[in-house]
Amino acid sequence: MERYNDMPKGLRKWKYPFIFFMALPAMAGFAVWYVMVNINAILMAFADQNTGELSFVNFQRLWGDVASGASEILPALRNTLYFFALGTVVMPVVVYLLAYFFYKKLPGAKVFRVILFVPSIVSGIVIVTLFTNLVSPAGPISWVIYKITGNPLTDYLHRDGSSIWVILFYSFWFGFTGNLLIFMGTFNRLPESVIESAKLDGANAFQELWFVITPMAWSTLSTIVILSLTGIFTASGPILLFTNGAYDTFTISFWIFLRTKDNAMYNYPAAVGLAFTVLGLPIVFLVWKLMNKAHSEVEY
Amino acid sequence: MIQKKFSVGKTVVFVAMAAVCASYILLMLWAFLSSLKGSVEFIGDKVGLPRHWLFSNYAKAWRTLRAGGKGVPTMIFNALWYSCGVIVVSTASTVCFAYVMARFKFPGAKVINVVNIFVMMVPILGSLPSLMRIVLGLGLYDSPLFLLTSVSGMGGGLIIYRTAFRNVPWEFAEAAYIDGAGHFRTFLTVMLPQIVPIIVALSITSLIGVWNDYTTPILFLPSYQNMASGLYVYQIENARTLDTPLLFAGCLMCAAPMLAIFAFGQKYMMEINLSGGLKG
Repeated sequence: MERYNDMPKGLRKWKYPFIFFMALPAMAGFAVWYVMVNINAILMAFADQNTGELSFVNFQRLWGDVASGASEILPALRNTLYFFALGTVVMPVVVYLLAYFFYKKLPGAKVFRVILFVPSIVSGIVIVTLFTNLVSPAGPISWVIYKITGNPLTDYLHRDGSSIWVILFYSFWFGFTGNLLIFMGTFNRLPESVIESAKLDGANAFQELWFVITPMAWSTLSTIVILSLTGIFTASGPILLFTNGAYDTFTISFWIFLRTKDNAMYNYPAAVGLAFTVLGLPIVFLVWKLMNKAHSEVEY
Repeated sequence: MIQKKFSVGKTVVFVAMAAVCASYILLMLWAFLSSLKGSVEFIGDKVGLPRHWLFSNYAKAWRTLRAGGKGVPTMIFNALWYSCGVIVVSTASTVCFAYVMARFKFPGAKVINVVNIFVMMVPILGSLPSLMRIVLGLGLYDSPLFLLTSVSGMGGGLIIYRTAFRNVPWEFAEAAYIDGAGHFRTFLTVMLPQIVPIIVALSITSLIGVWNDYTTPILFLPSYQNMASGLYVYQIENARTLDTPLLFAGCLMCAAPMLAIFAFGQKYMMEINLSGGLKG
């Protein structure tokens, strides 16, 4: 780290002006696009859409909607929890195990790695468009099934109850990419000597993964889980492209996205967002705490 | 026995991965073959090879595929200026900030680090309506000036660039100071060039993300649809008369530039990603 005395005397007086100018755009951007946006979001959540008066009217409306069960909020919450389970439990674990097999030189790992990267290169709109056509009753899979059984494929994507599962399946099937490389990067830097000595002590593959590699890679795993969790709360996912929220497929973040896109009544969505942020925060910290408790950090 | 179990595990994973990868390849291949069919032929035959290989569908898509009144050339132009603009604005602001965070001690630096972690960790859900109102209020809605929302200095980029600057020996800067360079010249001509490979790698990753982003143009830039959002709008506007081979041609035209970048740079991108993993 640079120290004040490391620079010539003439430059010392310019240190703080330099820092100021270098930091100014970032700090201004942060002040407007994070601080101001979020303070405004809180104010909007408490402001009556019609009068502008500060009140709890938006939260009362939310409570009424949830209690009556008539609005889209409850199904949206349920679907958000599905994505929560997929994004923070299923995917990180599956991808972590996959990265381990790749690290252990699975045949074809290099080719798989490149192909698995493709869905993150191609826009979601492209993959969803192709996938939707593929699984539609008029699509090629249905055509093959029809030739074999005489019945076309049921339109699971456009049906209450099954639609969200099709979207979850899509998210799983095309979601192996990103964290795979991060896990592999971490595994590649683990000290070989530690893993070798575990092998010499007779550790099997499971013991090697769980007792030797996982403690060393734990901070990566917990960071990925936390960031995935944060993403689930804020990303609206592919629902816009698949169903636009029809067939009971709303999530909380997509519901907010759609309300922001389609009308100028922003205060209620802001209140819904704030309420679920307050509910979500303990979950984030709980997961963080649990992750920290499960394995203590190992220095290597 | 243990070795055998692991071999069984390896076989299962191999078969599963082969199935997943085959499905990706077949999906793209099917889309390509379908994009070469006539629309009537596609309706009658979903899996066969095209009777006539209509490569002209791509020229037709270039000419006739329109979203919100804008054609493909305009959508590509919009995608280019928006992607490049976002990358230049966000990278410039983040790199400058990361340099002083990495190399200068100043009051508040530690607080900024804590705030940065907080910003990355804590999801704030209700900010989208608020962002929309502020963007409307500042006159940035549906305007190229919307790029100003990309001015940032926090998040993962700050951490990566700060680490990169910390890894550059400070002796480089000291030598520049001794040679009479000021702070700005030392930064621009000595320190910044040292991290150009990391800037390029992150910019390519960002380029792919921004090029493929469809929600931002749909929400904030309705008159400036890019290829990704344009394909969505095209499907909405032509829901009843959708020419699927033409749509697939458009989809592949949207995917082609990023696939080309990936094809040429995948080894480099993979290495950057693999070496950039978080320390355990």
